[in-house]
Amino acid sequence: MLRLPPTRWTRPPSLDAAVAALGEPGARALAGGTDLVVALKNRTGRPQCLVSLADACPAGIDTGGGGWAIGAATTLWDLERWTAPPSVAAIPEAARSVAAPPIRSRATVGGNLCLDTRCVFYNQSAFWRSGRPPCRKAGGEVCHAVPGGDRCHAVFSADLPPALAAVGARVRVAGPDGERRKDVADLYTGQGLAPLALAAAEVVLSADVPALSGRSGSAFEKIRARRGLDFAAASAAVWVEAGDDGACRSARVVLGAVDSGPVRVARAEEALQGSLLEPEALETAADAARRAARPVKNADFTPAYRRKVVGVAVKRAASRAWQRAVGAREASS
Amino acid sequence: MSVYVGKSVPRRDTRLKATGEARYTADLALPFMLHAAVLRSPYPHARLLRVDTSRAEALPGVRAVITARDASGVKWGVFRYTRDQEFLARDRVRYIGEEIAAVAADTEEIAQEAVALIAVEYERLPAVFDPLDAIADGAPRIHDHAERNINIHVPIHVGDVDAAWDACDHVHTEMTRSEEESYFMTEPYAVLAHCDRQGTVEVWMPNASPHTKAKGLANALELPVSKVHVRHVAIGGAFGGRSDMFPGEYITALLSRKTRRPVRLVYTREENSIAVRQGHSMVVESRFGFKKDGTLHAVDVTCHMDGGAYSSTGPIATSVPFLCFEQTYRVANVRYNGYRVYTNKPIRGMIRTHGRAWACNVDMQLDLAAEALGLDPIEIRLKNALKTGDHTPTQSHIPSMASHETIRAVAEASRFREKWKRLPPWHGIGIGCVSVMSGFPMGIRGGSAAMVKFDEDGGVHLISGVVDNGQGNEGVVLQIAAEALGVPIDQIQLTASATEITPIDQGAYSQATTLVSGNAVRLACEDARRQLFEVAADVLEASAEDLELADGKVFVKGSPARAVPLAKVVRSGLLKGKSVIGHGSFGPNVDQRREWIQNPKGQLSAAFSYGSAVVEVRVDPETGFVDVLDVWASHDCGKAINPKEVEGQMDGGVAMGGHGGILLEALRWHEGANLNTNFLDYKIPLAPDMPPIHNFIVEADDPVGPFGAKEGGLSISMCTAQAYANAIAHAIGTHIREFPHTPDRVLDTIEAREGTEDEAS
Repeated sequence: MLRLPPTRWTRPPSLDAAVAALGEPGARALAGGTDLVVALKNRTGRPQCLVSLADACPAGIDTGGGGWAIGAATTLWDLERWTAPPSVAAIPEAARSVAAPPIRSRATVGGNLCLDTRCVFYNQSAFWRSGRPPCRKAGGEVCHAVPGGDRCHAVFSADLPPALAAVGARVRVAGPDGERRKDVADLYTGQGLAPLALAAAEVVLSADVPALSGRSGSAFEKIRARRGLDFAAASAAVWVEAGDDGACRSARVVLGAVDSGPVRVARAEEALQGSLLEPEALETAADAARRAARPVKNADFTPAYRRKVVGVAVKRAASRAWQRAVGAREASS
Repeated sequence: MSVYVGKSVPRRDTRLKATGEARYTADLALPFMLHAAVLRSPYPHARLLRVDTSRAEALPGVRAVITARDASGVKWGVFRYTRDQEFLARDRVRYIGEEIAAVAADTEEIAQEAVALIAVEYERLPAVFDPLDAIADGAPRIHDHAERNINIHVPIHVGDVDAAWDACDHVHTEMTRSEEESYFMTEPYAVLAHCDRQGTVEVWMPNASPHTKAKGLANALELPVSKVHVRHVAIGGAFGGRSDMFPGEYITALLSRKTRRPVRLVYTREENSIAVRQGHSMVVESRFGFKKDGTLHAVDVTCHMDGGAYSSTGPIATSVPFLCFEQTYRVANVRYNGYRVYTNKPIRGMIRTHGRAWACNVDMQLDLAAEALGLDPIEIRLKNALKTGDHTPTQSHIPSMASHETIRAVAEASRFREKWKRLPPWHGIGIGCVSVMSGFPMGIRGGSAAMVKFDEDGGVHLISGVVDNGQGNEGVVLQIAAEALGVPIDQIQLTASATEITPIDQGAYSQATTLVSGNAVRLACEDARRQLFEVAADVLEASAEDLELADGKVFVKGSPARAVPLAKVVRSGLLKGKSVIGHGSFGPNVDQRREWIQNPKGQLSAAFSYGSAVVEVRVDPETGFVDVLDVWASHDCGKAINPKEVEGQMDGGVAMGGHGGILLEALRWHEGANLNTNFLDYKIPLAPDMPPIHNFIVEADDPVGPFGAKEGGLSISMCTAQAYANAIAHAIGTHIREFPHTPDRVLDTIEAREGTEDEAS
């Protein structure tokens, strides 16, 4: 069977100790381990030391300060049970769509935010990869997904980041230089090789979700091969806000699993703004999403298919988000 | 009136498996046991120039390293004429995953580290990955003996196909393709072998036929069969993928022989996917001719199957898809050319649906003909389905087959005729039918035998070669024994699949167990009962013919008071030197002269079952996803020995053949490397994917089967596949010619069709 490589492991008792431990060469943060442990078995990551964040990061949803701070150590199992208001309903929806219940009971919010990019040519055993030159993500010079490609095309397929980005969440990050906050969207480089815009020894502490207008709604739509377990072949998170005139005042549209980072689609947002989310507006937004997507042949289904259905995901997420926004408005009036 | 047969009694292994107490091969350990790891080729086709094991041998904790230099050189193939595989590659590797060397070490980690230290110098050779490419001019030759890489050619021609087209009113040609399936048994392959100092070898491994494994291993190790003991162990699934010999058991036994210590080899999920067996991919070209009234008159099918690098069960795998067709629908003129082609891909074996492109092509042809001739899909199947008393084109007599009853059962339950062409847009309904054989000629290993002996307290011990891969075969023979003896199931102990004790048996293969092994058990129990009655006749001063056995007592029929406890009968016998041991031996009535390639005619099987399924779907026209609303499945399995078990097999058939086979499952490739070898990337259906299933067991007692029983389950795996495909075609207005029907293919087909027509019906 596949065996874990011999790897040192430590569980620092505090955030400061964890940040210090992560400053050591070859250290890597371990949260729920649902993705990292598989990578270790496949020898796609070779850290010298795993630093467990179990005692370093907060767990649970803190409601202080006019919004919600979702602790990085919160399990997806707990997050999917959050009775979120319609404005941020995309978040538990996205949590519920990850993997399967036994995995969600271990997987964490921080882990999902920091999920590595994936590629069917990279997420393979050491034996599998030994039959061909190493790809860029494995330290080589070639790309098996896009022969001749000049970058790593590994796909970013985490489900929470598009949802959090769509509702305008920020992340709180701690590192050797203290804490800072940044937009969820700014947590990502868009690069397949190194998808996270985190400095050395930085850890995500929480996702801070703002309290949004009572006239807004959000939704997350995921296209995947089966009704469980699978990573997204394409996904979309949409947040929309209804204005006083009954039309959409503002919108945010973020795609997942069609590029090396979450993709915000301004043209799709423009298509929704000022509309009543009628079919024509939805179709325009869907077309904008299709144009913004850059899928390659490294995930489930063909790239052409993923491009098509990311548009469908936008339409469906937008419709559901709008229903929530309008329903919320009716409930609040 | 049966007491134990026909009852849904819980299986004996259920609790053990539910609680995790059942012990599979990877759970077993012996004192002083070593751990093995295998060096496999990372290249699809290469010459081995040098294999240097010196650094591996020098690693502390390594106890043995073996290569082809240590091997006997005996080649494996199921038939004499298909022996083409050495268990350790000698000078050439032909697929990614082929075994080159192996290590036994103190721990699995050391063994894996040592494997990485073996230096191999390869000379890469051109490789070919598609059967049509492999038969083309200039393709790389994979085996010296195989011209154009053709491994097997099964030619069958009955009637006169070329002359028959003129008499047909509707003739249509179809081309279908299917990708490879994988079994994804819950249990990855594993072997524990122990060569003791007396020169015997004990082996534990998941298998479908312990006696076949013992013989193959004895050949490779150059030992008499009596020195190879394949032992009983819990097995986590087979589906056709545990049937023949694999290098794993030979390598493990050889390492044990060399180290004189027990050795255990546990495959990774990837090894289980690439280095055991896979299903064949296929390209099927069919021409079907019908008469105006819907009678199928002529069929010509050419099939190219990707067999991978070696023969395995090749001649059988190339024939069975055709055989399942010829016993399903009647046809006077038929020609089949089945080609199994070598490619530089892993070895292909038997798998449950025996080729989606084949089975679904047939039922696609029936639906298209029905449409052209103004019939409905039910009518054309009722018209053409074989039934009791018919003969197949290759001369099998069908002693019993309730085909029409199964078709009507699902047609009525699903209200098929009300729904056909009347469903809302993007909804569809489809039907599929298939007949499956209960065993086929397997030479000296085609029969089974059983023994029954008694403890002094009346306890019963049943000894049978039957093997249980998880489908419940042990429970089946226990229920048969209980019924035939008149003794409660919980008083019977079963010793099964332990080759030094159990008589030769065909194994859980070709759907023969219930009929063949079950009959052997029935006969053994009847023999034991007769002997018991002879003893009891003296005690009771009655005639043996007038005795009955029930509730632990032998008594005189009609006078239950004149009774003697079973234990006392056994003890009375022992006092007279008469130990009651029942013996039963059964060989099915098949034509042993029948041969897959040289002589494909004569009685194939003693019994033929039938399955029909109707599936109703709703297709999402924007994403191509298929929502399966309901599945109705009906099965003539003869008598259901355990109805709950049969229903479980039917549910499993829907999951594997229908939902997995048509919507989800396919192996993906990159230059001969399998891209999806794990449970995440290979899409077997999950619990939330499964549709509601409505099962109908159509009992039609088989004249040969024990208490009327025959094959149960496989029929449903195949016919639901066909029904899924036809239902999707009904929903989107056209058939999809590639399998599986993944959402991207469904959407492409919808869009291609919309390019030519206005909208789907």
